Amino acid sequence: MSTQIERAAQMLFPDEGGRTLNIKFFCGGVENNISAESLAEQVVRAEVQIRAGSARLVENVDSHLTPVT
Amino acid sequence: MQFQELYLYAEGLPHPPVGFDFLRAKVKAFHPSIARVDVFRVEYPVPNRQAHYRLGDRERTSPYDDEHDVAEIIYCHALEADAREMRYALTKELMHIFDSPAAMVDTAEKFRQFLREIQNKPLPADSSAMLLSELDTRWMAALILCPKKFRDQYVADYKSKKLQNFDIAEIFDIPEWVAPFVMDDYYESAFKKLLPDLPV
Repeated sequence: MSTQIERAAQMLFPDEGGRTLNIKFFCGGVENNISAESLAEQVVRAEVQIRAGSARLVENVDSHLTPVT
Repeated sequence: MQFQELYLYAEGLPHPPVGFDFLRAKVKAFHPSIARVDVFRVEYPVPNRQAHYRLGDRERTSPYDDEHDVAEIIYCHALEADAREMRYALTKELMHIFDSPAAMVDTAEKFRQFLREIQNKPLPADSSAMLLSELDTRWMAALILCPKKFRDQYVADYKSKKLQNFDIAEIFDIPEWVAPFVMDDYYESAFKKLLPDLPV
């Protein structure tokens, strides 16, 4: 098993601490030609940024939309 | 909270588009086990315009704590180049709050299997509930961003070519590639399967 896959698995499902109850990918239903390794790398890089506090929390996704009342 | 309840909030809006923030506010208010939906922007060295969903609680130290879970949707910063693509991607990921227990990827072993399934694209008969949920959410996002009450108003003009994919994308604020399958007759079949208690 690749290092990235094992590293991602360990980050998401540690022996102790906050566990992951579900994880899914946008590409899973809409895109071809993606490797397990690249998905794992995506998770690892994201987890590192979230845990380090460098990922930005986005409060307003719809800022470009006409406000819906 | 069931998918149907969230869908009915979307259909109850006065007009499209249906906002992602509107949907996540309803989830926060009415989903019994999800405290909130956090959206994180991350950067990858090679931008991939991807997103993923994670359910859990980073602060919880004991599995026996009586705390609600947090749904996280994490996206690549490059998705921001296309606001419609980003909103569809985030909405598709949000739909995983409705995953059945069998579809949950909640152990390291399932995670490894799931990654291989996405990579290998197995035949439908060999696909797990985990992988099939990815196809369900593709349609759930399409239905909730294009509620039937609004979508049906444009079907005749779309079929007669008065409206193009561009127009449908403008009305619902969706990617243009989503418009053809939203306006296709299969929409009715997906609606019946995913919202079986609502009239067609």
